Amino acid sequence: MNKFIGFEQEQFSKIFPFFIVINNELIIESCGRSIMKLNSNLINTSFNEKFQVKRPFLQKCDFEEIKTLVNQVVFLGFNAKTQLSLRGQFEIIPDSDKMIFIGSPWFDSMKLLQNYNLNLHDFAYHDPIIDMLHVLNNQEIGAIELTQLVKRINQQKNDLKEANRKTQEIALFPTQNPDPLIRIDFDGKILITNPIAKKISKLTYNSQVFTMSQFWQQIVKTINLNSKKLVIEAKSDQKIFSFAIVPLPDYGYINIYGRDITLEKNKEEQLRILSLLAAENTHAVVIADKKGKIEWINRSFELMTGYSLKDIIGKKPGKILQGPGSNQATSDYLRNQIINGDPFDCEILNYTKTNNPYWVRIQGQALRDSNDKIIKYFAIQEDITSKREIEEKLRDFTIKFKLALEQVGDNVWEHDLLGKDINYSNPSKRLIDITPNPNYEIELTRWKNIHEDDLQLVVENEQKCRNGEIDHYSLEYRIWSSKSDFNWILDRGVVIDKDKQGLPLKLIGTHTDITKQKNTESALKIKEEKYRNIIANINLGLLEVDNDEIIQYANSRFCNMIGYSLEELAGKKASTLFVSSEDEKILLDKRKLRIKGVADAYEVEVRSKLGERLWWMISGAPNYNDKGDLIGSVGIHLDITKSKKLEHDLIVAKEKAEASTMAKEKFLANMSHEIRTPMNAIMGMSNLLRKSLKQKNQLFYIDTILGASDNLLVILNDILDISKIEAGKLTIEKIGFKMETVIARCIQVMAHRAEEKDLSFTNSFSDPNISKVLIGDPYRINQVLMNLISNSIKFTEKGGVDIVCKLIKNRKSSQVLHICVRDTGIGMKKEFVSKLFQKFTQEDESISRRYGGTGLGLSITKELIELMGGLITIKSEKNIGTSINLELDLKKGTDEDMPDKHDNISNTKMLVDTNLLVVDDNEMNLLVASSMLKHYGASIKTASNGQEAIEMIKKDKFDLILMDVQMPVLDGLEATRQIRENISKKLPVIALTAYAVKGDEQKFLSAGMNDYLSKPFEESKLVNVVTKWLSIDSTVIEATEETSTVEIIEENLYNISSLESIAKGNVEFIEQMIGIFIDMANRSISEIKDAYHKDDFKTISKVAHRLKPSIDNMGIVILKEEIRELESSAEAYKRSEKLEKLLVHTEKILKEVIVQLKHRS
Amino acid sequence: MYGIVNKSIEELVIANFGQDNWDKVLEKSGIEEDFFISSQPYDDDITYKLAGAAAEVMNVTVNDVLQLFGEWWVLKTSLEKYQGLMQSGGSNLQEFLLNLPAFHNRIMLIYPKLTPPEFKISDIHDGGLNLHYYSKRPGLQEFVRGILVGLGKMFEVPVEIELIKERSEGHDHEIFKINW
Repeated sequence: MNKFIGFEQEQFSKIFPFFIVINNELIIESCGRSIMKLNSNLINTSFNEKFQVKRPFLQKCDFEEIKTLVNQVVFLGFNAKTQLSLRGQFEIIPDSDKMIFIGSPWFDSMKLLQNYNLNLHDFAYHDPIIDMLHVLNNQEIGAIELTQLVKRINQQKNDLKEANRKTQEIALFPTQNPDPLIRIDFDGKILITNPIAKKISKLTYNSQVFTMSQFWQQIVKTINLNSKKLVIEAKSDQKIFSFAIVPLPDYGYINIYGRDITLEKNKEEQLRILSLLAAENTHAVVIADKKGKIEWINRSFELMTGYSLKDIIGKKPGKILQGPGSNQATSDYLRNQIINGDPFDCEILNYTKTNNPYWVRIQGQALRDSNDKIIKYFAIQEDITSKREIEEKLRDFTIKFKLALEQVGDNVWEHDLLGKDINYSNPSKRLIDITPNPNYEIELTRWKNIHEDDLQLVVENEQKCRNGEIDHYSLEYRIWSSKSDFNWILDRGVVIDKDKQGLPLKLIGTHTDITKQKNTESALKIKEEKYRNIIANINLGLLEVDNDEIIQYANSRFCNMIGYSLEELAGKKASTLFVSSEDEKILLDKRKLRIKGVADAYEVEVRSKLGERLWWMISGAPNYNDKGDLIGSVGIHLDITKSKKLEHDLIVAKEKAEASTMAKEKFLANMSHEIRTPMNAIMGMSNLLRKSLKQKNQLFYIDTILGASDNLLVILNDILDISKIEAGKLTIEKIGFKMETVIARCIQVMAHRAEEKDLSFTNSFSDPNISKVLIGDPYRINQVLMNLISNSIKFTEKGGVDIVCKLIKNRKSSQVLHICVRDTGIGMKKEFVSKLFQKFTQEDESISRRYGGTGLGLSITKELIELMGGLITIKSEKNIGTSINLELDLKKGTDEDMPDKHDNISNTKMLVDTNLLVVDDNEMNLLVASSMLKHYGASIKTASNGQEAIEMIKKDKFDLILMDVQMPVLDGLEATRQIRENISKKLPVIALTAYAVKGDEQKFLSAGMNDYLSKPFEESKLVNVVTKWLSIDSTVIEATEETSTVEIIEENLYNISSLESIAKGNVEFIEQMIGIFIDMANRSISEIKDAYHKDDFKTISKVAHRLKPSIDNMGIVILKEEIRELESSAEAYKRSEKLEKLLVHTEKILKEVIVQLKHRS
Repeated sequence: MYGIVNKSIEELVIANFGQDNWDKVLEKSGIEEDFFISSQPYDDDITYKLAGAAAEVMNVTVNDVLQLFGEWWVLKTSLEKYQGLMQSGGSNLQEFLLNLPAFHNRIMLIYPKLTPPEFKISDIHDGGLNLHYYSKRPGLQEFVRGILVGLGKMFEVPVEIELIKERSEGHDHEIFKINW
């Protein structure tokens, strides 16, 4: 049974898109959609019109024929599209007369597809043609690609061949290379070597031997793989290789290019040696180019000329080095030789960079190349300056030497030992006579005239020279110039040439006549002997020491003095030997002086060998040698032990005498106080009484009493004066006064006495030019005049007394007055006149003069006048009369200098309403003072000692205290101190003192007292003082006949009258002494202070001791006792109030004295 | 991949950057072959290396290279060598994309050793669709994107391509959302 598979035409078309159905008339009934696409107009068209059967071949394309095409592959051609073929098969459609062609286009490439605008969708899915075409396409592509590939390969093959060939060629290169080429990896392993490299078996590098492989393994460790090229040298057998190592990290290996540098190296070495030769040459070497310009210079050139290569490169040497002194001809010669290319050799003067000239020898030549062309010039320069200098010097020297020798000696000789020749520079002057006689030995003739005593010396000396023992000598010997005369010769020789053994060949020397010197020498020696003897025998000790006090020499006297022998002394130190350790310092100080060149004399205590203590006076002087260097000192020693002892004794005696004087003064002072106190009472009371008496006889009695007490007072005053004068405590006032007045008063007072004796009493002349007011001491002048007038009246029986007052000199500010008191009295013998002023000597007639009248009379007068700086002279003739002349130099004054003159006003109501306290241990004194004051209206209370006074002052109010100083229980000073301290600083306290000596004022003031009165005091003075301190106006003053007993306390604490007497008018000396005193006082004050702080009481004593004489000399009486107390008792007092008081007071007084001294006019 | 791919890359580089740069790419890639036979299969590795080297030499990212290559593949290689095939793929983008799986099946006839990726379509609507890309090879989704761009150009249709899912985010395949 036939099975049918049927499709719808559309479905069928999907499966077979290219089917064609034709009927038996060959009309196309239907076709597939893709055929339709190809040609839309196919339906009902003739098959043969549209298509043709390409294969198989049909004779006729009719239906019957086509039927035969079944079961075959048929190719149809598309008439519309001629290229297109359809491949398929015909089949008869059953039950019809139709045929169907089923097929699809046949393409052999993809392109056709595009041509016919067919795409994938036009084909049935089952139709593989497209895919096949693609595969085909791919294969085509593949084939093309393969062809391309083969081509490429061929190309590459050819390229490779070419490259290979090239490589081969290139590779040959290294193999053909005569130098070793090596390639190593980074471990040093050899990768490639060329044939030459293979031949190298061993390499020596850094003194180590390696095989090739070892070598590179070693080297590779040191290579920096980043470097471009490294070069090392190594030796193999006899060859030296330089290996250039080129690391190629990109390629992973290192190439080594070797090179045989053996020859090179050798040449290098040669060159090195040669250039070293040039460079290090001690001569200067210069190389210039063919134009003669400097290319190179060596070190020596630099040193020689001072120029560096930089300085002169490119310059011509001649231009640089030659200068003004260079010889022009030589310079030209050089230039010519160089131009001609000829060698040159010359000496020329060159100049260094610093313009120093030097001589140089230049040798040089041109250097030529293989064509004989000049390529360079070179020259060697040798500094011959020194050589030339030496030659010149030698010439100079030889001349000078000869000259010198001739100057040195009288003759110059040259002794040629070999030639046995002696030459003299001045044969005519030769001192040694030589008669050249070939028969004798030269020596014999030479020494013919030499003094026998000296011959031995000369011969020995010659021997020593000849056998080389000495090179030079200096001999003095005598040569007989005649039978009896000889000359002294100084023969000096020196060996100037020696042979190989050192033996002399030639000597030269001088002969000098030294006869004169020799004579002088001996004369000198004799003198020296003489002085030595003097020194040795002199009676003074002579000691010579060196700069260290070491004894060099002592004469016999010195040895005797010290008790040591010269042997014992020599070499010992002088100071330690003789002197105690304390005094050693003195000697050391002296040594210092000697160093300064000072000579001086001094005393020092020494100990003799036996221990005796001696005092020596040493006069030392520095000792110089003949060069003027200090070599020590020389001392002359004198034993002054005895005189020292004497000195000491004298001092002791002096001190004793002073002590006794002081005792005497004290006694006098005390005594005067004791006497004054009752005197005060007597006079005071008498005066008071007188005021209340009316009757004549009463008045007479009282006047007598008063007169007597006056006299007594005067005597007392005189005694006091004398003691003051002795103590130097009496001073002269300097106040204004009228001479006229003074003289008038004297006359007034003494007139009645003259009248009594019926004598005339005149002032015959009073120079009108005498200054109205003079400055001086009117009281003392009064005293003197009174004394003289009194004497004159006493010793004149007839005639009279005259006073004459003349002006001798009238200066601008002073005048010299001449006052003469002359009488027509009994006169004196001449012998007695001279003794008149002497004190305390017993003479008959003079006694009455001296002891008469107003007490100690003339001696006091003289003292007073002299204190005033005046002169007193006496002219007397027995039985004619006496004239005593005073000369006074007084300063002129004015009215302002006059002391206040107060009227004799007594205001008896002056002291009313005043409460006064009078303190005195003596009732009488109390009475006197109180009465006086009561007279003026004062209310008076009394106390008999300081203690009582203080108690009373505490209880009652007083306006003023009058305080006696000397009192028991509590003395005035202490009482005042206490008052000042505890009660009142202002309450006026007036001291009543019997002493009134200089310095007392200080005591009072320092105690706190305001003022003082000296007992016995006058009523007026008492009242004046009281009113003054009570500030009550008006004072009472009464002129008295006698000079005031109130001593004007001098403010000066010192008295330079003794100084003045020593000075004898030398003001400079006085000033000097004062200056010295001031210094010493200041020093002493500080020394004492220091010592006190250190508790060094010994020093205080010492200073006091030192100060004592000065204090006495300066008349500082107030300290007289105290300084002695300090001296003797400072150590005993030790630190105590007593000592302190003493010191404070001493210091105070000294300071005050210093101030006063500085301010003295 | 078949040599044609590598060759295509070669042609791309030479056309855009010159022979010298292609030599550099070759060198850089380190591969031994310097000549590719289109119908011969090569290691995928080679293609990746070439892509990488090309990226280096052209100083762009690998993805850029792949995308560029994708375009090139469509517009040049495919059209030149498989024109008919391309045309028969579809008359518009949608059709082509819809036919893509069938398309690849055909290609396997030509290249027996071909291991092509699988494509599936979903979410089809007038203006777009989702293309699912299944591949055993990693990292070539940019190539796919390039192809899609190229296709768009070929059909002269502006396309928007969005990679909405990818394997690097843990999915098992890429999904491109394509709109035109």
